[in-house]
Amino acid sequence: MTIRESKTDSFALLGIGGRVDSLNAETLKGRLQEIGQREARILVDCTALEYIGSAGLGALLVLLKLVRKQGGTLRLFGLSPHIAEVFAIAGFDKLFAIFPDLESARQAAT
Amino acid sequence: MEARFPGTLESLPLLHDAVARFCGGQAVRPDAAFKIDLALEEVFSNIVRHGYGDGRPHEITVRLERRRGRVRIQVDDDGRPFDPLLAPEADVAAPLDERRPGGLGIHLVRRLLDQIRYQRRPDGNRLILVKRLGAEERST
Repeated sequence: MTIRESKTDSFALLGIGGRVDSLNAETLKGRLQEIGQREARILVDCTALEYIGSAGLGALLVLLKLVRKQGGTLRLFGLSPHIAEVFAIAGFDKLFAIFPDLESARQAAT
Repeated sequence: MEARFPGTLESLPLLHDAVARFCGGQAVRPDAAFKIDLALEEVFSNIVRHGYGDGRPHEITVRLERRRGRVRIQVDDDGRPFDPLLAPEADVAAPLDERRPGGLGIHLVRRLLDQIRYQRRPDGNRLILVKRLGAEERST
C-alpha cells in the first residue's frame, strides 16, 4: 500500500495505491484521520489502487464522516472497474462523490 | 492447492500470493480471481478477529480447487464455534450517519461469490465457498 499527499489548486490531493487489506487498513485509517482533521477539501486518487477490502472501506468511511462534519468536500476518482464494483456492492457509490479522472473531480461544482 | 497459514493478519500477503498462483495456474480470469481473493481475505480476517480469543497460536487451512466450471474454496480453522453467516450484515442502503463498518465483509463475500456454507466440525469450523466461472472460462 502506498499513500501520497500533494496539493492541487485548493485541494489536498491524496493518492492511495496498491493493496489495502485488513493488515494495513489501520495504517491507512490513521493517516486519513490525520488528513481529515486538517484538510477540508480533499481529492482521493484511486488510479493506482489495486485492491480494497472491507477494512479499507471502513477507513474511507471514517474520512468521509470527518470531512462532512466540518462541511468540507471529499471526491474520489480513478476507480478501476473491480474497485468500482466493490464500492457499488458496499453502497459506497451512494455515499461518496466519485469521478472518472482528476480533471472532472477538480472541476465539479461544489 | 492446499496451504496452511498461521491464524494472524500477517498471513494475508501470503494468502494473496497463494490465490494469485492458483488462479494464474488454473487460467481463472482476473475478474473471478479478484473476487476470490477479496472473499478469502474477508473470511480469513473474520476468523482471526472473531474466532479465537484464547491467546494461543492457531492455523487456518485453505483449499482451492477448480472443477466443473467452478472454483471451490474450503477454509478450515481450529477456533471456537463461529458461523459468520449468523452475524448481522451491514445495511448498505443506510445514510452516512447510520453507516457502521461492521458486517461489510460478509456482505461483500455473499455478493461476490455464488455460494457460502458453514459447517461446525468436532475440531473447528469449515466454510465452503463457491465461485462460478464465466462461460468462456468453463471451456478452457
